[in-house]
Amino acid sequence: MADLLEVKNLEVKYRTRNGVLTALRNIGFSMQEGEVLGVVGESGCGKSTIAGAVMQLLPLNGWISQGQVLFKGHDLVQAGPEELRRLRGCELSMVFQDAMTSLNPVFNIETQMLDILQAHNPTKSRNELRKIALAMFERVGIPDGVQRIKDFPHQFSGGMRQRIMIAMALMANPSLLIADEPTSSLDVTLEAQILELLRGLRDELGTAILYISHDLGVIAQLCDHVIVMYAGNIVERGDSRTLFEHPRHPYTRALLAAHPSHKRHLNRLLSIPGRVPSLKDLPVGCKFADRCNFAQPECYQAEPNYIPLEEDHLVLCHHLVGEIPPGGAELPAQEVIPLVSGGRVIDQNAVPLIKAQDLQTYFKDRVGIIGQLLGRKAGSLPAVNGIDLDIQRGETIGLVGESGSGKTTLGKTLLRLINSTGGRILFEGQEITHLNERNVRPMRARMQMIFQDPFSSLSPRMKVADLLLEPFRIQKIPVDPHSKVPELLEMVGLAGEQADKYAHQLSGGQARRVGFARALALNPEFLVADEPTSGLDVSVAAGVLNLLKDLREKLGLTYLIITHNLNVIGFIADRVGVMYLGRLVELGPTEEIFDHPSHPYTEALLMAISNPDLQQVAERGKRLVVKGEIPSPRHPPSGCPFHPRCRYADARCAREVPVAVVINATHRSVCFYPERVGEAV
Amino acid sequence: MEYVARSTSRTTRFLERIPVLGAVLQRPLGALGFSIVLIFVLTTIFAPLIAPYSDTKQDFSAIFQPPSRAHLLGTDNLGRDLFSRIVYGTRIEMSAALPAVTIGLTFGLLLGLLAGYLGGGVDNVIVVLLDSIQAFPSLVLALAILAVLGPSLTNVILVIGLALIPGYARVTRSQVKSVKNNDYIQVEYNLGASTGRIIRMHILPNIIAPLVILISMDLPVVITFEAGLSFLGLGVRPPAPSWGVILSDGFKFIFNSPWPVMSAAFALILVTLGFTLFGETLRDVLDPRLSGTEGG
Repeated sequence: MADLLEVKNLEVKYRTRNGVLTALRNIGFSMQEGEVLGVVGESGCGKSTIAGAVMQLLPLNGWISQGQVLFKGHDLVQAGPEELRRLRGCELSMVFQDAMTSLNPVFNIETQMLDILQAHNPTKSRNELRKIALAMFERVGIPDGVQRIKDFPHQFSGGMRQRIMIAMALMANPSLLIADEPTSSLDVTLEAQILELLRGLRDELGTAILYISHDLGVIAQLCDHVIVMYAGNIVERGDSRTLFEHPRHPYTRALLAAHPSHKRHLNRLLSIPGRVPSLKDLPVGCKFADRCNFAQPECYQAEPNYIPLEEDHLVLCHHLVGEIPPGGAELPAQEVIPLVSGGRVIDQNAVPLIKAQDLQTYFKDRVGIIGQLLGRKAGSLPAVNGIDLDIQRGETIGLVGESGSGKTTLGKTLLRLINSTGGRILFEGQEITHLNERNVRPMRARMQMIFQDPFSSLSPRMKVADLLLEPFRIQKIPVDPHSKVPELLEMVGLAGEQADKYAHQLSGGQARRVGFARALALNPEFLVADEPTSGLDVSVAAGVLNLLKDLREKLGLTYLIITHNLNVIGFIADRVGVMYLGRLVELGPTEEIFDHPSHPYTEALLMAISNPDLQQVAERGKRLVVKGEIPSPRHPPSGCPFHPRCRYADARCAREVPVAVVINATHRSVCFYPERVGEAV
Repeated sequence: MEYVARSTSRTTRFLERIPVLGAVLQRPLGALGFSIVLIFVLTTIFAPLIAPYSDTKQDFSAIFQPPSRAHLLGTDNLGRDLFSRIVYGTRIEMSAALPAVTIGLTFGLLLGLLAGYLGGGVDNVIVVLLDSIQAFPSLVLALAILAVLGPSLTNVILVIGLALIPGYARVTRSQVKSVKNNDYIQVEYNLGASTGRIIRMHILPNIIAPLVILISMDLPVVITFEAGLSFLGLGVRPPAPSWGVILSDGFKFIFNSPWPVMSAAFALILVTLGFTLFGETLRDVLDPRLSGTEGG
């Protein structure tokens, strides 16, 4: 069978202020019809440039300086604009990460779909096209298609918009779909749904998919073949079974080892030291040598050549290190620093450091002055709705749930950053719920928060040194900046020279570390970390997680870690709380939650995780994916809020609101039928 | 030696401010703008030393003279030296524009901060107030107030200042609202910082850039506005050489000599250009995110 797409010796260059940079070098791969090819690597490795090169949609300063992109035998590099226009949308089509900005906000979905269809089917009548559009719209799983197709982009949720993008991309039945991180900004549950959808559509329509992702778990879930990119090169290429079972390139193996997984109980994650080299000063020899644990002197001098292994498995390396155990979990010697974490004893009967009793936080709608005059009443949105939670000193609680479940609001309410609507908050047994700002101020030093967006939480006009001294200036504590700043930087693993930088000059991982250092400056006891690894590459995220763990051991911190990534929780938390629509639906020790979840929602979240391992590759398509999306807290479903999505629900769940059931002394679940969870249906 | 973090930081911050001008001067347009502004400032201060003639002395033997060595910009209908009048006029313009912009900025900033930071009812009241000021076209407002108070430079300054308040208040309010939502404000709050400190250290520095550009663009507008009011006979009274008066006088005799109108107009254009270039460069330099290593 002829290849659908064949890329030969591709080289892409960019013209920039720093001169001409080579973004892709010597790229070669091919795709068969109906094949799903995954492209994986950290940011800055050239993943999206491959997509741009295939679509002939490179940024204006980029061009293909060498090589061929053969699509069904035609070289797209030589194709004229008119030929490309006919191919795009018809034969080649693309789905982007951000569905909101890819849809035009002023037209309804039907108009936008018809627009594309008409361009490629000028002969068909509008009614026929309307039918095709509606069929595709319903095929991607949007309920009430007939009505909703007339809606505008902002009326859909993020997951729905991504489905619409996929519908639009596949409408003309293209042979090749390029998907650039289509699920990166979605919750795990929605991600799992989209992956199922893509796989289903591939089987049905026979569309080949070039899938770009930084997440190896997603790749394992979906792709037949994988190429691993590093600094503009393909460093390893092979079918996914081989790649996840016997990764041969040190970079692939490091990526796999850096991925936290609740299945592997590790003391530490492998973090890849350093970062992807900037294109403007690429090293001479192997581009990965600086970060490679196996680098030999020749790696720094000469570029390696591809070593072909069995059945089109290709590796760009000087030395193939011997057989690697499955999953590539073998840690190189210098990275294993065992921690004395076994000794931590948490007394569950002591006075909790933080205690929440029936805590509620409602957001009131703002009614404008005209509305007030007209007597309009403010509605309210229950973001946190009756939470009971004790956090013991030294403990780490993980809080998980989809976006919109109220995790961050709970964290902020506990810290008195948002005022609660009802219930009580106790800090070391002392009630702080209604303390006024003056009296809360001294408490603030003892409870800190690390915000989700590291850049937004660092003032853009302050240097790192000033940022780190802020806590002392605010609390009027005299310190010597010349010793304190380096001390704090060192604590979070940053070099002293970072002190003179502004926030925008830092990388994502560095900015996050500065955030940690500032939060820890006043020696707090309680730390709320909101999505500490979101938006970071796995290797950097691994470093951040290790750091959180180290600091906990060293400083005896108590954490509340908010995340939608259950793998992160499994690595670090003692107990896990699962939130849904402002309620804590399950709370229990981490191992129990992972091994024997007692709430259907917890089970659904666990099943939605994509792990980068062989098991995931082998069992793909067999997992149960939770249906639907989290409803708005403004109009919660009757009875148990989860019942419309629950696979165990019966009539009682729709009628009555369940209360917490004690599974054992440390484990409770808010479900009528906790014993059913895990049963095959 | 023990020292308090704050005291050292103040000196470092002061030192950091000095390179700002250097950075402005490194950019060609910034240097041009700064030079023009500097020329006008020096002219304001040293007007009597620069002007070769008196600004009001009439010489009927030399009316409607074109530019010459004796009269750099020529003379007007009463034989007064136009160059000297423009030079003295600079004084009037600056002494009208700077106080007016100061009034607008001070009250605008105050109202904008209150509205943006406190929100809620305070915000509603302030927005209604600003809307009511802006509901009048500024010229109509100025005419009405000046008709009541009588024409004088002080009243012109007050009127222009009043008309400027809503602009500054609105920019401040929207900037405060967006800056306030940043996590670093929450971080400060969570560290126990007082409201005053949050505003002084974190909100003001982050909203200053659009205000700087607004000031630099308002100064020439105010000068033009003052000139307009004087042109209509509501501002500075002749024979005081406000640029508006020069324009107004020159306009009546434009068929006798174009030079009075042209020289006053040229001065207006130059001052607008200078302040705009200076302001825009200053804004870029003040924002660390925009001032990369490579110059603009």
